Amino acid sequence: MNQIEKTKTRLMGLEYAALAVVALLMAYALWWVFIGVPNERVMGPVQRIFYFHVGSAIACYCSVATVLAGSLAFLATRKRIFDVASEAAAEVGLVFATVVMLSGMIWARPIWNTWFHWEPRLLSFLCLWLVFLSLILLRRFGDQERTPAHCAVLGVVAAITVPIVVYSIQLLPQFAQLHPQVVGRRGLREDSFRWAFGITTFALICFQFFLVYVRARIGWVSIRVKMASNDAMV
Amino acid sequence: MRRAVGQFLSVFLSMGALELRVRETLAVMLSLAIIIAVVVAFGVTTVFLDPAGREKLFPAAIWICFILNAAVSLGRSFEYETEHRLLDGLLLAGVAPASIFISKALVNFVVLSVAHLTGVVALGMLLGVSIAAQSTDFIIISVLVVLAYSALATLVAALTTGSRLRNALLPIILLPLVLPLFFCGVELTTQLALGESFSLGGAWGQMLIGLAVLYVGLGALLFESVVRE
Repeated sequence: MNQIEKTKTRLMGLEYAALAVVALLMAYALWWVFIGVPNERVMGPVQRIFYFHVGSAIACYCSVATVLAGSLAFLATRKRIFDVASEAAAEVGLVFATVVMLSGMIWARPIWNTWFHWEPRLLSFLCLWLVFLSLILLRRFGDQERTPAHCAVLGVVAAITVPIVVYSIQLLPQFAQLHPQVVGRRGLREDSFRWAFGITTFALICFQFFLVYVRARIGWVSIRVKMASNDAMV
Repeated sequence: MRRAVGQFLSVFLSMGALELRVRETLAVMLSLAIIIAVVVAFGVTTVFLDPAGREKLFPAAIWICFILNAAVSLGRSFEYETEHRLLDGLLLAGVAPASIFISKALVNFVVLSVAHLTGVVALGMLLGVSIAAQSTDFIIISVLVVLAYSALATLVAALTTGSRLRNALLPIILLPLVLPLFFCGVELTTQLALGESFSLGGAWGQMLIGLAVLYVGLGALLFESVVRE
């Protein structure tokens, strides 16, 4: 076995190990969410959505941070690998943002008696979802010769949306909004709630980074295949 | 420093002169400002017949008109420059990309301000609502929103210029990014219209100032990466 084959085998072993760790973490988090914590006193079982909703939101912010880091690194070095990472993070970020929006709606319907409420936190997160969508559309339909640089610029501008989402809760007084500030106001008083929240968030962040890695690897392989086929044609 | 200012002034004046000569964006914007104002006013008067309802809706209506008009009209923002390779010429002449960006953003700012003023006057006349009493505060809000919008729209217009779908892609990319500006504009104008105490030191005002500074700064920094590839 030559050196390249050895490296490939070692890399695949690491990937399987990472997959196993992420799967175990997710299973442990699921056990805590559905079995480990008791029902919340006021909201009942539907409150368990909270762990996925907030955890996915934090994982989504990690995707934006990856898009920002990848975009800045690409603009500084012009290395294609950073563009691939940024593209992967944008796609995974859109998935997590969709999970946040949908889980929020499912939670809001029985608790607030509405699917959506026009207030700063929900609106700004909807903007973030649309920004992810626009990043993907620019890559698909933008100027094909300059796509990586253009997407990197948009990635940097798009990252401004996250501080807006975080800050948005302070734009109106708490009594004028339905969206609660559970974590910010230390609403998780039971130890089991805090532990379930921590482990679910950690598991979702790991899952997000694993998905970004897998998507980036697929993107990188497809670029290599394209380059090889172009070389073959020449 | 003097050379940079001189460069910026000559690029700004030549781009402004080009806009005045071609008049494409300005003509489209002024026409759209009036058309959108008529459509919005028609919808509002059909639903809200009482003057109090119209007054409450007026701040949102003027910013809806502005955002829609600007998003549609600025699609042609870099078209003339790209067709005639003006940007390449300026870059080859050694003009700093930040100077080109600020010049273009300022030209767009002037054009958008004229269109915004037209839209506000048209809507005010059609709905029978006036904010003349708070005109100074309204001008401050408008300048900040239009400035931030112009900077961001100039950057995004440059991103979409080379695309086949540029006219559709520009609003799709631009609108989610400018929605926070729209919220700031509507909230601050509503405070004015309802006679509440108005201050740029409040949460909405701080956010508006922050976004204006960020968009102008980021645009000037990132424009080089958009045009020099």
